[in-house]
Amino acid sequence: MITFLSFQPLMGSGSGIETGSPRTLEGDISLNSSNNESTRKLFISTSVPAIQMILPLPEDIFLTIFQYLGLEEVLSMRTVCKSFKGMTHLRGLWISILRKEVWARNIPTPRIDLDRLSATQIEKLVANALCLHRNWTSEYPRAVRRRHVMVATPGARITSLHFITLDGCSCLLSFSLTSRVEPRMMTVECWDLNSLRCKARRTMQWFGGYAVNSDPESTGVIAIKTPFVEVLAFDPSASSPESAFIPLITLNTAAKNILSLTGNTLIFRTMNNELKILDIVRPLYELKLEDRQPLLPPNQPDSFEAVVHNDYAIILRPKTLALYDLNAFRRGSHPPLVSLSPVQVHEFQWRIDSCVMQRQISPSAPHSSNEFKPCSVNILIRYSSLFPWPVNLLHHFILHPNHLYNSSTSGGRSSTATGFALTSNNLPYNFPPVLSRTIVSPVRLFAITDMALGSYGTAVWLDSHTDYHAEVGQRLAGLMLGFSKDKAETGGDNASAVEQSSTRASMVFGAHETDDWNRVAIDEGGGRTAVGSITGEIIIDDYIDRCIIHSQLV
Amino acid sequence: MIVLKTSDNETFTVERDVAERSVLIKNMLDDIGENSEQAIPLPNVNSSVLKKVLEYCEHHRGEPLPAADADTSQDDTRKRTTDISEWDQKFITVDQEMLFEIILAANYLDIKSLLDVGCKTVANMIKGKTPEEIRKLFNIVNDFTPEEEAQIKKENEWAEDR
Repeated sequence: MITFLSFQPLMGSGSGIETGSPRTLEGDISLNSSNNESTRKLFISTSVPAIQMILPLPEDIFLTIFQYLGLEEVLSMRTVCKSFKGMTHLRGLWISILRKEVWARNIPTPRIDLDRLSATQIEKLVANALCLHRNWTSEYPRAVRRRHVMVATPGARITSLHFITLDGCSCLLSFSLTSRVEPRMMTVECWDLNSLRCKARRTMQWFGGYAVNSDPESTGVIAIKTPFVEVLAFDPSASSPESAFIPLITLNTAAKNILSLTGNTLIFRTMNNELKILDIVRPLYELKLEDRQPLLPPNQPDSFEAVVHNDYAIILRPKTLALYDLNAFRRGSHPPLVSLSPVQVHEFQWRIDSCVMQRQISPSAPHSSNEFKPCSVNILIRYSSLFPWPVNLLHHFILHPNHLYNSSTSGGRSSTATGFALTSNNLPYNFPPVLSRTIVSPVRLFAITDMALGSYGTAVWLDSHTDYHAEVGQRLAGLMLGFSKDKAETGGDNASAVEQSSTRASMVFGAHETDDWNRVAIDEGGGRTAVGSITGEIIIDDYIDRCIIHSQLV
Repeated sequence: MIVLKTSDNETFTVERDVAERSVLIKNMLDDIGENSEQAIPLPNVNSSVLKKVLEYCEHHRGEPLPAADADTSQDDTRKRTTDISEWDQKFITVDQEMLFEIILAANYLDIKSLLDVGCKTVANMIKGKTPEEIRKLFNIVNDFTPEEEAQIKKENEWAEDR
């Protein structure tokens, strides 16, 4: 801490300006007079600190100057002298660096509560995020650690992998098909990413479809079609992993296939191939989502992705992207509706066989639940048509938000009843989605592929070839899609950084000797990918040395 | 009209809205009341610096003052950029001693926008300089032992070739 006493005699002569406020001068004098002697003694006895304090400007002003410096300069200032070094350890400075050097550049960080972190921890968070970003955006990202996990039943085919946070702990959720002959059995396992211990495991008779809750705050973690529609929750107090997944809700709904779960909102396919939406806490009220799809050739995947909000749902299907108004569904209208027609539909030129869709995180406040303001939606697709595309192409579409949109939830709960309706003049998104770029995959992409897309826009996909029933690969490729170039969202001066990150070439993340990879997941903040194989093996690659920050940040 | 009196006993007569770019003076005027003829003493500012500061206030008169309790997130956005407008750039092109005095005066008189221009200018001076050059710039002695210096350099390694 610098006191005025230390530099006033040096600055005072000939400068004409003395620091210190005259309004409090009298107070200062009376306060100082009592301490004067001891203060003076302090300066005499410790002559070295007295020298370091000769700064041409008061510390407060240097702190303002520091706010305008980039990370590099701040670190450079740290090596100048002890006084500056002290200032570079202030928490406020690192929060501001985190905002402008990491979040504003759309660089992923783990999901964290900033209020609980010290200055040093925030500094480490910045360091890790930047190291990870450098690694992930290089042409050949290098995994610093590779770990292997084997599901309980050897040879069980992995059907999907999901990074989730469960009970405050980073986990990987794996689904594997334990028995492929009737009755088919599905095993879901939850792996603690620190220890790779199985936290929870449940094997069920499986009739088709399941979904992991896309709302991390929800109690219901998984919805799965057993003979019933079952929603499972995690019980942290369970005595063994086998009893840790507990049925939360069991519904008698006649579903053929479960497609998506967001909070309490479940979307499923009925026996006669209609789409329906229901709320798991009042399951009798279900609505049909109208959207005609062309008849699919047999053995073709009926791809499905959904982004569900309180007011609306965006649904991506093999031929269309549709937006539904959910206000009537949420309120439960009288007389009850039977079906919902989309408010907006975009029809793709060709049929899609592989797709992912993810809401883009808001760069200014990535981890606050900014539900009221729609964020742009990234859509990554592969057309199944061979013409006119070379086969190894992916297409990145962006659905841009309408900033003038008035949400029924934005005014708080009170306005919900009278809320703003979604009309053609008040839509959360601007249709149609805009083709942002066409990506040439650096790995072969001859058939449907598994893709994963993080909320910062990092996409990964597996290579694929045309062998019948293959659907396997041995290489993982990816790309930072970059985020919407919408100025209103990113703030004008960040636009150039955005352009840079979005024009990077695609990169190859990893390869593997045998051709058996079939599922992929990504944890952008944690710097991890997971790849599952048809033999029940899961490979988890870390792209950042976690020992630097470790568990406080999970 | 308002009369301001500097540390070297010079008086400046300025229009009220020009003087009120300084939140300190504005608050003082509010306390004194409308019709006071009294000169306002500014014992921390000398005449050559006040002349410069008033030139700034004259140019920016009538612009909205930043809110006293500005939202921190807005504050943050503002601090992302070190851009300085053309006029301000020209205005702040002074020798280093004067630059520091303007900053101190702006801090004392509570003229936030001028303080920002000054601080941005100093930040721009720091950019691209080695620690040794920064020491020279501020006339600072290196008070680290060689061991301490090596330790800090080691801790900073992660940021290299970013």
